[in-house]
Amino acid sequence: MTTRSLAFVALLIPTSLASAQTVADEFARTIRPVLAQNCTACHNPANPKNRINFLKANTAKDLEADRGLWRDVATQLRNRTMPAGESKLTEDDRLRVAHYIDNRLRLTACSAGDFAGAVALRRLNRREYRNTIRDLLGIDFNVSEIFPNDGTGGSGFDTNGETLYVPPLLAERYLEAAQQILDRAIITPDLLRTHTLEPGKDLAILQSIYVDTDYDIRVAASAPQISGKLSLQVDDATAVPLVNTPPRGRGPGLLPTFNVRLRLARGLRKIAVVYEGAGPAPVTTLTLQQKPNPPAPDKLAQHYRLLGAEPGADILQPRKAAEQVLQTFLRKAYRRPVETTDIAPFLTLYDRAAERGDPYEERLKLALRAVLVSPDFLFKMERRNERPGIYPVGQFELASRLSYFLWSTSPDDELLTLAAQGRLQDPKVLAAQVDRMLDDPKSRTFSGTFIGQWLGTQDLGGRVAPMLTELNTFYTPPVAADLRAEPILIFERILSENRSLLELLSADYSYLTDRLVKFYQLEDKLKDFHSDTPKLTQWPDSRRAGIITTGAVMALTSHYRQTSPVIRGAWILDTILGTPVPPPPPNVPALEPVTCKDNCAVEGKTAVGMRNRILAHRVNPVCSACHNLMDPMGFALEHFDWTGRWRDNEFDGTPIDGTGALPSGEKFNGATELRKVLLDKKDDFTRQVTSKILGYALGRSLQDGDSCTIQHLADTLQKDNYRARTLIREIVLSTPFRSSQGGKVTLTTAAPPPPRSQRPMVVK
Amino acid sequence: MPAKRISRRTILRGTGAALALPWLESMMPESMAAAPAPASQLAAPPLRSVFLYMPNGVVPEFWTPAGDAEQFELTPHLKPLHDLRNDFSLLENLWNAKTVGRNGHWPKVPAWLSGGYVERTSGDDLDAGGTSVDQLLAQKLGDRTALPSLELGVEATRTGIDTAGGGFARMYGSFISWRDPHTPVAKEIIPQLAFDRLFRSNKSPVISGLNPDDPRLLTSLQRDETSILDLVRDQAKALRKQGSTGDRVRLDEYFESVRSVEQRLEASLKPQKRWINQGKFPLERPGPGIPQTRPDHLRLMMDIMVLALWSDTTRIGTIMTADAQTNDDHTFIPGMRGGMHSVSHHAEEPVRKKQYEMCVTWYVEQVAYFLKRLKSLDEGGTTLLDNAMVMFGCGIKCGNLHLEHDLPIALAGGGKGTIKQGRRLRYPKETPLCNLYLSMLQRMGVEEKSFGDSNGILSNLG
Repeated sequence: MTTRSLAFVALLIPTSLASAQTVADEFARTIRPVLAQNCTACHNPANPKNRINFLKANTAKDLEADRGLWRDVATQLRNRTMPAGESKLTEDDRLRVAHYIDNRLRLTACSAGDFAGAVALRRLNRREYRNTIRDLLGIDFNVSEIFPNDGTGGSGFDTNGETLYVPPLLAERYLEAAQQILDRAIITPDLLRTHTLEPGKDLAILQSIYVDTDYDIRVAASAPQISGKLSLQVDDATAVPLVNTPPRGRGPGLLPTFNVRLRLARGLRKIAVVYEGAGPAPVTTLTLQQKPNPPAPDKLAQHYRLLGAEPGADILQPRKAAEQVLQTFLRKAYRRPVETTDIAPFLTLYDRAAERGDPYEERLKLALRAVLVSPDFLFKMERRNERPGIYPVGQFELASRLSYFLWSTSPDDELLTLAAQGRLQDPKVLAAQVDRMLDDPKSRTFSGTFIGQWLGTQDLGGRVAPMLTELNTFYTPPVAADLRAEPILIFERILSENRSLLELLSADYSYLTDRLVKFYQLEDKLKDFHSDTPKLTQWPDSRRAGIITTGAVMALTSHYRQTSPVIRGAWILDTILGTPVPPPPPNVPALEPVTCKDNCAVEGKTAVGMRNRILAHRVNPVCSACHNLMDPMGFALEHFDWTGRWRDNEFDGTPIDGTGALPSGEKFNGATELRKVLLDKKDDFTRQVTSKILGYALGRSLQDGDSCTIQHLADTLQKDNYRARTLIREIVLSTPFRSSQGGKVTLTTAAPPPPRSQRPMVVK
Repeated sequence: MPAKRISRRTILRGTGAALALPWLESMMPESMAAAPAPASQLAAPPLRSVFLYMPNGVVPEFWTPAGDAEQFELTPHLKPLHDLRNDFSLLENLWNAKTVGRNGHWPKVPAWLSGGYVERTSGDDLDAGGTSVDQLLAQKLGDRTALPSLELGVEATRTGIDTAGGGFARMYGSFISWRDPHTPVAKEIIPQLAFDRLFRSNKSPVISGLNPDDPRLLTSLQRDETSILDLVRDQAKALRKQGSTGDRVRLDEYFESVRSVEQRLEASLKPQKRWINQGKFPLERPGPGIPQTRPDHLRLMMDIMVLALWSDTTRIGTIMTADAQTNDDHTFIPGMRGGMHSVSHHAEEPVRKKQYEMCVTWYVEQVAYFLKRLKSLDEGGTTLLDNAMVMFGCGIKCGNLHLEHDLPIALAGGGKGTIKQGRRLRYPKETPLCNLYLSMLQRMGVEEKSFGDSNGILSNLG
């Protein structure tokens, strides 16, 4: 195993297992003394009241005895939660000890034995709900207009079970959404109903209205001439007058009707004729006729697919037919085989509607509405084993894990069939399914979501780099959409053509549109380019490559009207390399404010160069430990302005200086040379991509026990030339994906909480 | 459809077209049916409580007046409240002791209305340290109105973890309302959904002249949701028995969510004593989506809150005028560049500080708008503002330095004659903000010995 970590760590810690002995010495010699000095006051192992006993460890080997505890020590150091209060711990030591522990735990990851982890019960997130409804009913239902948006957590994705809460509002919205969806999917035959009125008695009838629309209401008169006034009252609203409509044709016995057209809403309605005149009301019948609205052919087809009959068709044994429909629907909605006991409760709802005389379609709608609100549909149910151990997940559970991972939707027939045959745990079958699923266009939702949430580019044009009126000459909503698509399409190509994941750092191509060519100011270099939709294009020069230098990433790592080498550097360390730096310590004195000379009033003008302001970080040792890591990488990207466009000079005309040097000695000038340095750190990068995709796939926070899986996956990936599909396949074949942990699982996170440093701190 | 007015009665009765407002309006004539039976009507307007959260602190010297007299000159931030001079008071030296340090924004948000200690977490174990005061009110009094409480805002829940900011889940910054320490209450940001919520909750299944227990009603379409909820609740119960501890937490949330809809359906069947305001409320049903500009969006949400209070659909509300650390485009303020959070860290640079000051003042203007709306509505000789307590302010004093002392807090509204407004009330340094909440709870009729870290009430409000 070769493990090149961050270069500065490499200086301190030998990086191969061959020198594990030296590592052990390192702990006794330079790590424990630091901890002893700073932590003994509260965590003295000799004190019986102290229950947090990491200081019992004397050699590196002892760290393995309590990995969870040590993971916590590193995290607390990194998060600055410990040591509490005033502390003499230097920033260099804080960083060094945290990295040492992380590194040590990683090198010995597999010593703890097999680990599968337990996934919290997950509800469908908004995207999954929408896709599942699409596949179940053929309806594209825009959930963002009705469901509150989902929180993210764990590895930073919206698939994370721990943050998929069920807020009180949600049940109400599920009910509402189910009604709207079924109203679109199932056509209720037009209502035409005549009620006999009994003059002299109550002139009110009760009628169930199924569809919100216009109704023609006709009251038939019992005499050719009526002296009084007739009007109509729905529920308790004010009466509306009925209009006398003479009979068609001529002849004796033809009587007038009194009509009105009203919009009525769904529900049981009380409709009353009001007669103001002498004697009993001269009326005989009241007819309601729904305004015809012939359904479109595709809607009819959809209805037929679901119900196996045309709207209003005469069904011989409706209850039996309904049972059949429910059986088929439930299997897909529950994503597992269903028993009679699963169907029975929904049939009681069918009966409820049947008893009050609803049409067949409405009876089914009521039953199906309950299905769409039931926990078996809304949650990805998995059976738990209470006894400790690792258990393979069930066939159908695995089918769901797979389809929600790669498609964000329910398993299709092929997956369900394989599950029914009990073949899904077969590695060969699984591998073949992964390929099939990645070839399916449905896998685009994975690329889009994963890249957008991992990099944070999904918020571009909204919360990040918002659309500002002052920019609308070159930065418009379509441009922002193209910018968001760029890194996604690069990843999609890598995935669909099974290319090397290192291309995320090095791809010399991107996906451009006419709009992006203009945005990137490449009209001269790409003269023959014409495309309204993103088109695979070779960059005309080596200024940009891979995802880091895309306009989206460069904008999301900038301040308003100002690039931030600090944020860019921190972003690379966090997002790309998975080696985040701690947050700034509290009460850091602000950097010297910009000295305002004559040009200060000019918008966006920095009176002294950005580089000089930031170099002030290096003076204070509290700042320099981390800024020496972050800032140089950011300097190398200074040629990209705050919107992501190329620039040769700063606002004030100072030529951009793209040079940087890491404490470990690597020197570089500009993005092209930085790229080489990052490619040298490909082991960090590989581990990071692996953890991210694994976290997305598992839908939980990664834990210490996952370190072994991550390292194994990363090694396999490296051996197979970093091919993207190898990683996806190996994740699907991995223990945590295919099994779950029984008994109580202690939760400790595998790595420091995932950073999504969009605008972490402000350079003052 | 041209702009229409919705009659108060329309809202109250719901009639046949509770969700189908556009055509309902066209059906509804100017004069509605007779008033409901006196038995279901309150004799006097009820007291309401509203909490308006403002983001990113203030410029301290532009908020707090000089000197220490009870009477004070309006400071630059408070100028927009000029016409409301005698309708609000500044409450000084209040703070939330448990929010000190750790991070400038995140822990100060859930704690704003709870005074709790907010745990640092990446999201798997959110802990706001307490139930927020609005939710406690809703739990105690919510069954008296169609909606126990209403939570509105303008920004979608934040995502991700702020590692650089100390490892807090950013979603903390999006919630001031907490049903319990672990459950944030989702706020509604889409005007149409918020608006429809008022009506849906009023959708009465009772048809005039029929007994609520009439079988024709029990089996009606209107009662279908109750049957569905019964069914899925039983399923959740059964699943809960099989599930592990972790699963149970989620199923309990689901169960609670289902229960809250049921409670509302049940409540809609019970005759509730309500306050009836006569007349019409000038607000049409908003279109779908989110209004294009932030000012339009916020004002619309405020209008909806006013409507909810006026129609007595709820008596308890919160509005987040923006989420904590908002950095959304604020260029709708003339002279402003970029987002508010950026300029809040102005480092005493004059141009940026000026822009920050303008942002804060803009938020106070919006508060003033809300208060004026309440003041303009008559409730039998008093105004809606007279019958309300509207607390507004931030969880940090200074946006630049995240100061926790002497929070910018003000209280508007007469509290039904229990609050003497137009003053500046200076309390001893480090007086718990929760003392204010305890005072508000008492006025609302909720008898609690303490709330959060309170050590008494604010004695001289009246």
